[in-house]
Amino acid sequence: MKNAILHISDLHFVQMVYNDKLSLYNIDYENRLLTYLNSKQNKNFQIKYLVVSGDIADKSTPSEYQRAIEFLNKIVTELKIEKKNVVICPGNHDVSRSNLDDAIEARRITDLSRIHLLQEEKFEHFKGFFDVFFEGDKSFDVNKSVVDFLIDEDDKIIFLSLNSCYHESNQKDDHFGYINKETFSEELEALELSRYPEYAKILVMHHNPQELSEITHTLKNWKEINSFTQKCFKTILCGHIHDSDSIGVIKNKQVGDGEYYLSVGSLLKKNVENSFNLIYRENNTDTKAKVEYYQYLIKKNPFWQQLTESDALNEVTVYEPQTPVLIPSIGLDIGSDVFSSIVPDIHQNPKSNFSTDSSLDRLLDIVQQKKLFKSGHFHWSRDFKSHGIIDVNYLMSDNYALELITSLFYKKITNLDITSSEKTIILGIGIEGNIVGARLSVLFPKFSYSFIPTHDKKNFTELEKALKDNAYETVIIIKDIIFEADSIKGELESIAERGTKNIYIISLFYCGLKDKEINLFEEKNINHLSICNKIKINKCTHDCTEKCAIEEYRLDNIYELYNEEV
Amino acid sequence: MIYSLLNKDGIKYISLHAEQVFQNFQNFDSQLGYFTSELTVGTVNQLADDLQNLDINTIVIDFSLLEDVHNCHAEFRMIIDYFLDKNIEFSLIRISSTLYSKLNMHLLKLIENINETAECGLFVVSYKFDSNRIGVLEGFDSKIYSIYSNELQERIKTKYLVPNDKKYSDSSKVELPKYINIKLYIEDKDISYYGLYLLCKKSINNGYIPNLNQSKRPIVFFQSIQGAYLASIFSKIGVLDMAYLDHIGPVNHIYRTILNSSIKSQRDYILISDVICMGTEIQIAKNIIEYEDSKVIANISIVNVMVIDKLPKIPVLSLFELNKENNKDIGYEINTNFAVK
Repeated sequence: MKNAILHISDLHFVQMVYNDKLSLYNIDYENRLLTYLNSKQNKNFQIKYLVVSGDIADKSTPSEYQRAIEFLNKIVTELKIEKKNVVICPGNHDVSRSNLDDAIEARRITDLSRIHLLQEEKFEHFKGFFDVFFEGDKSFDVNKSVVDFLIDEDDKIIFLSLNSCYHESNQKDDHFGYINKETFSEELEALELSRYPEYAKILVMHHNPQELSEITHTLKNWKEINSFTQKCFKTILCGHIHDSDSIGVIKNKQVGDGEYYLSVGSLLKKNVENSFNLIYRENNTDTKAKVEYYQYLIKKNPFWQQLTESDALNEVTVYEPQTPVLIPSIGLDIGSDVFSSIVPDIHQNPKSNFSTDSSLDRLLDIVQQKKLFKSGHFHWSRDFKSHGIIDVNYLMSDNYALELITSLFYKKITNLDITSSEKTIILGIGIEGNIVGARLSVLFPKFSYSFIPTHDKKNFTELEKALKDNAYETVIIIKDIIFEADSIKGELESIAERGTKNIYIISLFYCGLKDKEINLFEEKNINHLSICNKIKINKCTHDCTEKCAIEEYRLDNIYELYNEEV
Repeated sequence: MIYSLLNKDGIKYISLHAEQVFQNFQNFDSQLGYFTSELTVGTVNQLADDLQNLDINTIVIDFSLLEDVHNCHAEFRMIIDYFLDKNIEFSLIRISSTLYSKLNMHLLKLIENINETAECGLFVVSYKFDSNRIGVLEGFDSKIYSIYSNELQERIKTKYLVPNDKKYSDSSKVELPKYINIKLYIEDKDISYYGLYLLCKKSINNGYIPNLNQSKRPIVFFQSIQGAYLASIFSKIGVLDMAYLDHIGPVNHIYRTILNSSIKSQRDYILISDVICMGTEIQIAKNIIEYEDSKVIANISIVNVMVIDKLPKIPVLSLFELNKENNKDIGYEINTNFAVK
């Protein structure tokens, strides 16, 4: 059974007193609509997603929204649509002009050119509607450009709904669509859409990206916004014009900028086109989706019908398959800036996912989103206790995060001064060091590779022998977390004395004191580099002879992670 | 480095698809792994560099699983010219029509001693090479597995089978005078990467790893530090997430309850082991995974010691099966108080 999107817009719920003159809405209409939708869905597909592209209310009043909530609840209940699969964005009629009028009257604002910035006042009632309808599972943030971001892994589809009413207000000159570019670029980056290359992606907003049906109230800064979205979003669903119109490839002729813009008529407003669209893919790997247009014809016996003959789009592209980035030959000319010559795209394209600064931010975002920083009293040994831990296990279980981490280590290693590839070895310490080290060993095929389970004396003795026998000039050690490196200092310094010219120990997280980071080791040829030194974890200053208050009075969780016998 | 190089009877074998998979490790944005089907100029250039460091008389380059190619016919022709210049016999096999066209292989027909055929719908272009030497192309994959397995057997016998300091196993009541040190296998880069590629290929062909378009892909699970290495590369090739139970602190402490659970419920898991012998580790992992309402669908390993002739509860895929017959040459022992029948 195919999962379909029901796209409706411009409900323009009005207060009861204007019911018959301005709105089609009544119980009869509602029943007729739901019956028709149910008949469609049982035969051909299941309506799984509901998109409402703005102008929910007419004057943005609480009573209008109350009716909207009742109506939308009826739809989702009858069609068995889960609320998490409902995507809503505000329209210009969802801006409370009366609130802005009050603000002017109360002299809370005098410069009318800035009145559009009163987002709290503008969206007070829309926010109320949004938060109540979604029962707390979603909340409308008046200051954000991204209203909603929905991912469905089973259908491999993403919806992104935007607030295109940043500039709307009660002033006539403000009546145009606009998305706050400054917040939007940051919000979009945080969504990490590149993680979903094979997902259909649909953008939802109220205003039209381009003039449709000769109506000029389009999104004024669409070109700027599109510079961020064009790689991912090929299909944009919108409303506003009360007309089912579309731009894209029609009858093999390219119109527009390579995207597909689909607007839909008003579902409930009287004296305009009343319509809805159904959009679906045959398979969830298809790059294209079919579009069906349905219109309400008001005659003696009004009825819904599907429009089968029209110039409108009947198919839209929902994603474009990506081809791998072309990488020229690696040529191990270590010593020059190999990284930029190997992967020019990363330096030239600031939006690339794996440039170092943004990669590090992304890594910390993952740590934050997955809540991987844990507090507690962790006893690693009799002498070493810390007041926190980073759950690196969980971090590295995710393929995307691991690729991110690998790229950061890769960049660090390519910047090292290594004279001979054949006399260089990468050494992974521990499970996490070995996970990353494994992938690095493929990336540096001329380097030798080995690993040791833990940093205990026995393992290092064997390693020392191997290093001496093989006379490696450079040893690159991969480690997940370093605090003070006390437990491996002695062993590394012993290796350093044996003739290995350079030892680099690269940690994913350095959690010790900032001023000790570079000078962790006394030997000059042992260098410590960290990928991320931004997370500090305090060491418990109480040694084995006395307990700290946290431990003694159990002020936090205590984790005994060592065995006295070991 | 040529990741997929094998030698047998004076012939060198290379899988261009495997080379492309490993070359793609450099592309951190790529989530294609084994499922890549496009040959890039980077791979061709790297191959051209590496071939010059080899002593080659005869070479077979397999193009299977590659459906398309970037614009690199000039770079590819340099490889052919190198072969011709050094009078190296070669055979380019299982070439799709798209690659044949885009690499301008029709021009090779102008060269003396070039022979072109089509087998199984794919092109074969050979220079001074009798294709009977590699047998029927339909059985080529099996031939490669066999060559690899024989090479692995030889190395187990001569290098990887080492005396066991800890004769008695902690987890089962047997004596193991020797053990197969997979760490040494890992350190042999010329064989280990390709082994993991072949294991992934086997897993896909047996249906344990689905195509990329399937959501909720199986998760790779491991329990040892050798397993960490193997799983890291295997998961990259198979485009899979990993899970493991770390030992925070000493080996007998497992603290996953305080942190996020590694094991997700209602998912399929593939266990990856270095050597399967008594099966104790597998059983522990299976119990943990099943406790979380998930399922173990396969056990992948480098070596599977066929301790007894009994079908395992979980399907096992391995690069090498150590059985009673081949063990006569290798000399692996499992001792108990009871004499062998």
